[in-house]
Amino acid sequence: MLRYAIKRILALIPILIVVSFLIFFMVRLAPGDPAVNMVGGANTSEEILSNIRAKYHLDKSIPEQYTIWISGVLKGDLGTSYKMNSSVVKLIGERIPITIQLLTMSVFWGVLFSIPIGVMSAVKKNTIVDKLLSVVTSLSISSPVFFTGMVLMLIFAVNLHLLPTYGTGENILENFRYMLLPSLALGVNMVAMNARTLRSSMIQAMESNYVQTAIAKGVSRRSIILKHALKNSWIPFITISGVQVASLLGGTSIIETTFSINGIGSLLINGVNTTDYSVVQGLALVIVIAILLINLLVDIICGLIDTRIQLK
Amino acid sequence: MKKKSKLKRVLAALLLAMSVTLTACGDSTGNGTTSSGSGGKAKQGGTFVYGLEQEILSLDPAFSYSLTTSIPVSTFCESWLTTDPEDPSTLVPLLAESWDVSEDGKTYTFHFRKGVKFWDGTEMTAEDVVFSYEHAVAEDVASYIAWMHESVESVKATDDYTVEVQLKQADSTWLYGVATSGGGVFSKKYYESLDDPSSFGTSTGGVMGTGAYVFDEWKEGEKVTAHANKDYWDKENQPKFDNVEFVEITDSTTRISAIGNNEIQASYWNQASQLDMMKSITSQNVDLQYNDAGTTQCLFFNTTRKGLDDANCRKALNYVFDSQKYVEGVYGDSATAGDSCFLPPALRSYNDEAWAEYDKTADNYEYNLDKAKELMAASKYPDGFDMEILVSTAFPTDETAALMLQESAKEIGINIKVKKVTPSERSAVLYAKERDYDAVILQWDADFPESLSDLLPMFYSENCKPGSCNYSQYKNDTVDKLMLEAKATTDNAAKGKLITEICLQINADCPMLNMSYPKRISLVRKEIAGYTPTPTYWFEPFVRYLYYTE
Repeated sequence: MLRYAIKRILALIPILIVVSFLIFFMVRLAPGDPAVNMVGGANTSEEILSNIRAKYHLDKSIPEQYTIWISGVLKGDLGTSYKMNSSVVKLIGERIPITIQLLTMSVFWGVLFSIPIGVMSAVKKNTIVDKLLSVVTSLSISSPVFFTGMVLMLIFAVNLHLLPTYGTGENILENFRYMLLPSLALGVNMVAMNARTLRSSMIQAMESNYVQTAIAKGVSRRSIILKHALKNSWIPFITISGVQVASLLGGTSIIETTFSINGIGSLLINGVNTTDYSVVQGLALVIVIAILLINLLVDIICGLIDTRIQLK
Repeated sequence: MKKKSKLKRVLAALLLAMSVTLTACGDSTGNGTTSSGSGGKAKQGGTFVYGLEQEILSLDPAFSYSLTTSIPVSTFCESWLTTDPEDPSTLVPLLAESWDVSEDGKTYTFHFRKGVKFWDGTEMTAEDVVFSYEHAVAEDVASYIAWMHESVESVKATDDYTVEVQLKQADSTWLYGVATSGGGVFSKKYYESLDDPSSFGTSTGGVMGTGAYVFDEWKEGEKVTAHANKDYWDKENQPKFDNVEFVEITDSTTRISAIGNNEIQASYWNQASQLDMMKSITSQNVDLQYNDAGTTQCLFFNTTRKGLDDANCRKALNYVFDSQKYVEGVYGDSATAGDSCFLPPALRSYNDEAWAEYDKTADNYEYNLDKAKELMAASKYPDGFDMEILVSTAFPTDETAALMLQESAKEIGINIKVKKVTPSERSAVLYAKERDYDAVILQWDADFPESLSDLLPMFYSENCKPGSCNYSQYKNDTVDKLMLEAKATTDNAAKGKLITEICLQINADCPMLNMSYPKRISLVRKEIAGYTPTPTYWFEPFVRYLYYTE
């Protein structure tokens, strides 16, 4: 297992080199001059613009800029934000714990709701319960994250005054209260895919020979559902959850902006809006690394759960 | 009973959510007040939370050039001068208690107050003032507000409380630069004590200023907190709150909800497209205010493009746009209709007589389809032409204006395509080497509450260069000459006369279409008083005026 993990991590290096190259150049495809955007079109001299360009190496050729940037990355320096005049590593470091907590809570809600829905749908296959749950999951996937967030905010914060409208708390515990609504909005989006996957796997499991044998032997229905069918449905469920976490990262940009949460999602949105190359490319790299590591983690967990899976 | 009423509230909230989603532009009737902030006995204490619409970029005055970043910076690092809250076009003392100008307008001598202390107890002197200034213009700092001081030759301290500024040439607009957050003064000693000077103005390095509220902490991306300065120098404007927070709430719906929920107490910048929602929270003890702003919603014609290179066509487009109808339909009371002058009413200053004369002479281009047709017939393009208008997704009212013009321009044979772009896409197009657009609608906010500095960026021919703001590519030697003359004069009456002559010339050439002058739509909790937002409130240390009422 350890060898497998090390092998996978080492395999990330060539992937990251290619990805860094792509990110760096794609960011620069966006039209505009960051120096001019910084000044905001004010009546300024070429001298001042030159100073700004020189400070951020924007006066150098693209390959030179890439070399400077990647050399910094290898030393743990992702550059300086043009707009905020602050180290990108520092900006990300301060905000990543917030996003991690938000994502963790979202995944928790997503898994918490999708398991009973998936199990119930499978057990009550083709009944009115199954159809109703199908409507619920359809709603959850078709409702945009920001809309769900707004509705929750209006109900629970503005009208019922039960929860805050925006921001984060002073510590992780307080954050639970602040992030309850945004994490629910994000987590709800996960439910449809996860529940449907679990439903399919469980139906397949319950129609399998070993379950039929268990039924014939008089094993209780509860045991069949929970100990046999559900247990054998974890692998696809975990795999799809891992994929969902990656797409949740995209959703955090929207939900963090809606609820004014200072995570990496809102930082990314700001970076894009202000043509802040350093922030955008630094964050893109961090997000890619996170997704690759999550995929690795999912594979390891699957390998641990099901010994039939050989991790080589 | 309790359960039923909760259920009703939940249903009402769902209905409100639906209406928020389905609402387009607001209705035409405004029910906001124009100006407030007075009345009620001041209560000492409490926490004041201000909602910012964008992220704070830095606390360093050298990087404070945004409507949001300037607010905490102005609060912490006070400037040499400020604008009078009662008469925003007038500069009044702040850290400098007086200033003299030489006859040739090139030498300014500032006399700074004695006994003003930084928060660490050390006294502010001219050395700190000069240091702060030099930091803002230093090459290696590469500040993007250095342009405010391009006229300056040298700045030096002549004694502990006197600073002399030598300009390269007379420039009456320069003074406003030291009345902004960019002129903020901080402690030289504090800056030099930092292990890493580049951390100054960041969440780790902080700042050391003289303001009424002392910086505590900056949670980047979230908020800046401060507490009252017990040794604040201005005895007439002592801090009333115990604590102040500047919180970043970039989503406008969330910000409006937060003020209704009393999680924030004021937010001075809000969009007309959300008037319905703002009106709905006035029942929750919130004041909706429409105050004077230095904003013009303007359509700039690129005068180098086919069709728009003919003044007759530009005037014809002016005549088919009914700005009165537009404002009534879109803004209600929160804006006034665009007229003959690019400058919004709040910035038409210096010489009232000259402006009265201007009003008699200038053409307001009031809706007149027949006149528009006559002009088109007399133009180089009597059969009309095609053009495209760029609008930003950040301002839904701009799109509405463009669509309205699109409809009415059909009557004179001009086919308009409306192209929606994001703010950064728009910047990329506007500031590119080649100005590849026909026309653009912008909501331009004056940098200073001063007429000439609002006109220069847009209509001085040197600003046609890439990266500058002459979006019309307008060139007129007479206007250039008048602008330079006005810049050099320190006589306000003469300056006012020159400015009206400039505006008359621009009015005749018609490089733009003035659509509206949006007012500043502010939301303030009714229990807060002491200040009415001025056109450039973000450059003023306004928090020191505010208080909770009894």
